[in-house]
Amino acid sequence: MLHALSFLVSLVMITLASCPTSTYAASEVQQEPCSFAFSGVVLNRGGNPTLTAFNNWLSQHSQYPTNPSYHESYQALSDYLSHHSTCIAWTCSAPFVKALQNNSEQLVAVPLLHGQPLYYSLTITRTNRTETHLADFNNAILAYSDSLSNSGFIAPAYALKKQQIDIKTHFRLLMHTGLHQDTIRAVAAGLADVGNVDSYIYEEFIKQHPDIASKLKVIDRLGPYPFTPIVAGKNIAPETLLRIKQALLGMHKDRQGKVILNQLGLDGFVERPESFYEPVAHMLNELDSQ
Amino acid sequence: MIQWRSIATQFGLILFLILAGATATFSLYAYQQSTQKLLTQAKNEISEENLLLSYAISDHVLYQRYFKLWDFMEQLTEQKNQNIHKSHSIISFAVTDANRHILAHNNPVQHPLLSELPLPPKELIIDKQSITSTTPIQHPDNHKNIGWLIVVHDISYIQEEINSLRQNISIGLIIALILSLLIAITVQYWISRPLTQIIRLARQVGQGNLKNIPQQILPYEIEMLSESLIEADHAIVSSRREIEKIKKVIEQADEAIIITDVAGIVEYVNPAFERLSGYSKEESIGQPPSIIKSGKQSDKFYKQLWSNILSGQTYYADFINRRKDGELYTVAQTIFPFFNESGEIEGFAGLQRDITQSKKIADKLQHADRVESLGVLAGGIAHDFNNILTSIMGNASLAKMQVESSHPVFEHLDSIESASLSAADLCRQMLAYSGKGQFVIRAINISRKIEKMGQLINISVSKIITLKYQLTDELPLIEADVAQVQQVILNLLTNASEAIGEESGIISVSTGIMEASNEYLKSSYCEPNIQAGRFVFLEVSDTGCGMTAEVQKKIFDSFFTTKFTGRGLGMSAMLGIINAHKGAMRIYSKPNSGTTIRVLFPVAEKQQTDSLQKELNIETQNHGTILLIDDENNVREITAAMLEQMGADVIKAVGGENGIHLYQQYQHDIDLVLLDLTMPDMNGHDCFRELQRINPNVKVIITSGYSEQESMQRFDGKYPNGFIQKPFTPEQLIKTFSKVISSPTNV
Repeated sequence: MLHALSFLVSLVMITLASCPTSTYAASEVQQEPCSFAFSGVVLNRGGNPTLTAFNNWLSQHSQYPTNPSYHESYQALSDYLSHHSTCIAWTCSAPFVKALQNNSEQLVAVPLLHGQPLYYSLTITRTNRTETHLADFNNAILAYSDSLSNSGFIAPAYALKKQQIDIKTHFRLLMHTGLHQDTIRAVAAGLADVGNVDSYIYEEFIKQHPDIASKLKVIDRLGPYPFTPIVAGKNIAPETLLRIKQALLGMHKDRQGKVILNQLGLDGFVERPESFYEPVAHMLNELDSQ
Repeated sequence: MIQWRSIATQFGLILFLILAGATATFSLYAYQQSTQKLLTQAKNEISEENLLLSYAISDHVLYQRYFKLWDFMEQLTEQKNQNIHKSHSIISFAVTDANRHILAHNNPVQHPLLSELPLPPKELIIDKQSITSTTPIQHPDNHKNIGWLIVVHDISYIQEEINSLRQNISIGLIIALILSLLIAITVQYWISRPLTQIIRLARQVGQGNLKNIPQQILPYEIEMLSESLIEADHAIVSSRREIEKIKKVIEQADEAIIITDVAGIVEYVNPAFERLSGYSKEESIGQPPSIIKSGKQSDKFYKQLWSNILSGQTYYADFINRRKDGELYTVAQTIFPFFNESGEIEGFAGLQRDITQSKKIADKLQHADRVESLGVLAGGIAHDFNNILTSIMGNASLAKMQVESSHPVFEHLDSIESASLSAADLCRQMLAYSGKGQFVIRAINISRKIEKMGQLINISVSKIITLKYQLTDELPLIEADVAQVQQVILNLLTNASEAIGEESGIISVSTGIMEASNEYLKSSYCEPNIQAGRFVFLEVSDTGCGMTAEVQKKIFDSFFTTKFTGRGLGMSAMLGIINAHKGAMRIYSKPNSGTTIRVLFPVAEKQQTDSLQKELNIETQNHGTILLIDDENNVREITAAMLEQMGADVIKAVGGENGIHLYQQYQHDIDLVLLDLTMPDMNGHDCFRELQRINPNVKVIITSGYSEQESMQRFDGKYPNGFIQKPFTPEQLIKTFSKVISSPTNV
C-alpha cells in the first residue's frame, strides 16, 4: 500500500513536472509586480537559478520588479504578453515577428551570442545515421520543439520548402516535444530520427550533457537568424522600457550581470531595430503563402 | 570418542535430529511462505502500479503525445529505477494504441513509433527475474480501450530478497542447529551423567564398597537402580564369600574335581586334578575328559556311565586313568549331573580320589592274605605230610639198618628214603614260601658255601652252559639258615639254566659286599622295614631269554611259572626265604638280554671265622631213657624204633596227658622227653609247661612238622632244649639227642 502511494506521488510529481508552468489563468487580471516570462528559448525552465538571478538582476537594475514565469509554448507566451502588456519576456524570433504583426509586443534588446546577435538552426541526428541533409529523412520522424519556433520548425520548414518539400508530408511523423532540449533528447534516444534546434540551446545543452554529444551529430546548420529577443508588452511605460533596455545593454559591464551572462552563455545585449527580424518575417510569409 | 551405542548419545542425537528437523521444516516453510508472499506482493504492486500508470498516461495516449508519453515513461522509469530498494524496477516499457501501434517504447531505435507490437499472451507473465504486465489503457471519459501499457518489471530484488531471506534463514537455521546441538548435548549430559554414575556404580558391584550416590542429583529411577545395585553388591559379596570358601575347599581338596558342560567338555579342574593327572588347568579346560582315558575300561563301562548320569543318577566306580606322562593311576570316582533352574542337566561333576597306593596296598594285602592262607595250608600239609614222611623215612632207615647193603631190598629202601627226602624237600619249600620253614640260623660265608656246593651246582646246570664264578674271598659272614641259603643258590642257578634252555650260554655267579641305601632297598623286593646298611650279595646272571616286565611282576605269584613242568613255587619260596633273612632281591632283566638276580643278606653282627665253626659230633650211642610223647601212632612207633635202634630205652605216651602221667610215674628214670607239638588232648606247649612244673630241669626236645622258628614262637620265657623237624632221619635224631644231652641244663 505504501509502495502504491509512493508510486502515486511519483506519478503526480512527474505529471506536474511535465505540465507547463502557466500563470495564464492568474494573469487574466494584471497584478503587480509583472512577470519576466520565459519559454523554450532557454534551458531548464522552472526553478532555473540563473534565470531567477537574471530576473532579479534586471528587476534591480531596471527598477522594474518582475517575477520569472515560464510558459509551455511560444503561443502561450505571446498570449500571456498580449494579456499582460506591461510584462517582459524572452521569446523566439518567429513569435516576436507574429506579435509585431499584431502590435502586441515591442523589442527591448537582442542577446549577443559569440559577439553576434545571431544564431542558427542546427539539424541533428544520431551519429549512426547516414543521412546528410534534412531532406534525406523522408518518411522519418522529425522532432520539433514548437511550431512557432524559428530554429525548431520555421527554419527547417522553410529550408525544405525551398527544396519543394512539404515538411508536413515529408516525414512519417512530426513529433512535438515542446522544448529544444527535448528535441535533442528525442533524437538522441532514437525516438525521432532528426530534429532542428536552436544552436544556442544545443551548445548549452551539450555543455551540460556531454554524454549525449557522442550520440548526436549536426548534419546541417540553417541561418544565421536574428537571435531570440527580449520583448515587452505593448503597454509598458516608455521610461520603464528604457530603464530595462539600458540595464540590459549595460549588463555586460556590471560585475554581477557579467557573471549571469556567463552562466547564460551570452556576451551581452545589443539594441536592434524591429526590422532586424525581417528574415524571419520573410520565412513566415513564404511558409504562410503555401 | 563418541559412544554411538550410548542411550544418552542416541537420545541426544534423536533430540537433536528432532529439533534440527523441526527447525529446518519451519525454516523451509517460512522460506516458502516468504517467497510466495514476495511474489504475490510484487504481482499485486505491479498490477496496481500499471493500473495507476495507465490512468496517468491515458491523456497522452488519447492525444498521441509521443514525446510526452515517452518522456513521462522515461522519467518514471528513471525515477523508479533510482529507488529499487526492495522494489521492482522497470526493465522496459511500451505503450501502444488500441491497434498495438507503438506510441512509446523504451528502445525506440529497435521499436520505432507507430510500428506494430505484438501483445504478450497473458496479462501477467512471470519468470525468474521479471514480470511482464500488460494493462489496457482506457479512455479518460468513456473507459474504452485506447491502448496498451506493457511494462517489464525487474523483480530480481525478489530473488535478492529470497537470497537474503535464504541467507538469513540459513544463518537462523545454523544458529538453531547449534542451539539444538547445545540442547541435545545438555540433555545428553543430563541423561548420561546419572547413567555414568550408575555405570560406575555397576562396575563396582561385587567389590563390596558401594556407597549411596547423593540422591538429590539423581532421577528417581536411577536412585532406585543405584539402591538395587547396592543391594546386589551386598548379595554378590556375600555370595562371593561363600563361593570363595567353597572354592578354597575345592582348591585345597585332595580329591580331584572336574566339571564339564553337558557335552562333557571340561570347564573346570582343581589343583588336585592337575597334580593327579599331570595336566594343567589350561591344558584341561576345553578338552574332553578322555585326555586321561587309559583304555582300561570297556565301552560297556562308559555306556553304563553315560546312561546313569544322563538319567540324573550318580555313578560310582573305580577308574584307571592315564597321566599326562603315560603312567596309569586309579581313582575312585563319583560322577553326577548338576541341574539348572529349569531342571535340565547343566553339566557334570566328577570327584576323584586317588586310590592307586591304597589299591596297591590292598592288592598286597590280598596277596599277603593269599600267601598267608597258602602258608597255613602249606604248613598244615607239611605237618601232616612230615609225620607221614617221618614214618616212611624212619621205616626205610630202620629197614636199611636191618639188611646188608648188598641185599636186593636195600636199593629199594634207599629209593624210598631218597623219595621221602625229595618229598621232605618239597615240604620245606612250601614252608619256606610260607615263611614257616625250618630256620636254623648260623654264621656262614656264602662264597665258601658256593664252593662247597660245586658238585651240586654242576648237577643242577645244563652241561653246555659255562659257569663263571667271581667269588669274593674275604666276605663277611651272614646269619642264615644254611639249607635255605643253599636252596636259594640252587633255585637261582636252576632258573638261570632253564632261562638259557637247550642252547649254550653263560651263567655268572658272583658274591660281594655292598652298601645298600634306603632308596636302593625301596626299589628292591624286600620287607618294608629293612634297614639300610652293609649287605653281602649273591648275584647270578645268565644269557638266557630274559623276562618281560609283565612276567617280572608275576614271578613272585604263587604257582606262576613259565616252565612246562614248573610248580611255580621257586621264586616265591626264594623271596620268602630272603624276607625271613631280612634280605632283599633285585632283578634286572629284559627280553632276549638275559637276567641278573642279585640277592642281598645283611652282614652278621658277630663275625667268626670258619675255623671256629664246629660240627657237632654225632654220638651214635646213647643209653638213657626217653619219654616219647606223640599222638600219631605211626610216627610214635617209628621214632621209638629209631631210639631203640640207638640203644635208648623208650617210654611211649599216646598224648600229652598220658605223657605227663608217665613222666610223673617215671620221672627219675627219664633222661629226656621227645615231645610232639601238635596233639589233640594236650598240645606240646601245655605239656611242656606241665613237665616244667613237675621238673624245672627236665630236658625236652620238641618235634614238629612245622619249622623250628614257627614252633618255638609258641613258647615264651622257658624254651625246650631242642627241636627236630619231621620227617627226620635217625642220624638227625642222634645228632639232636647228642646236642641236648650234652647240654647242662635248660635254656
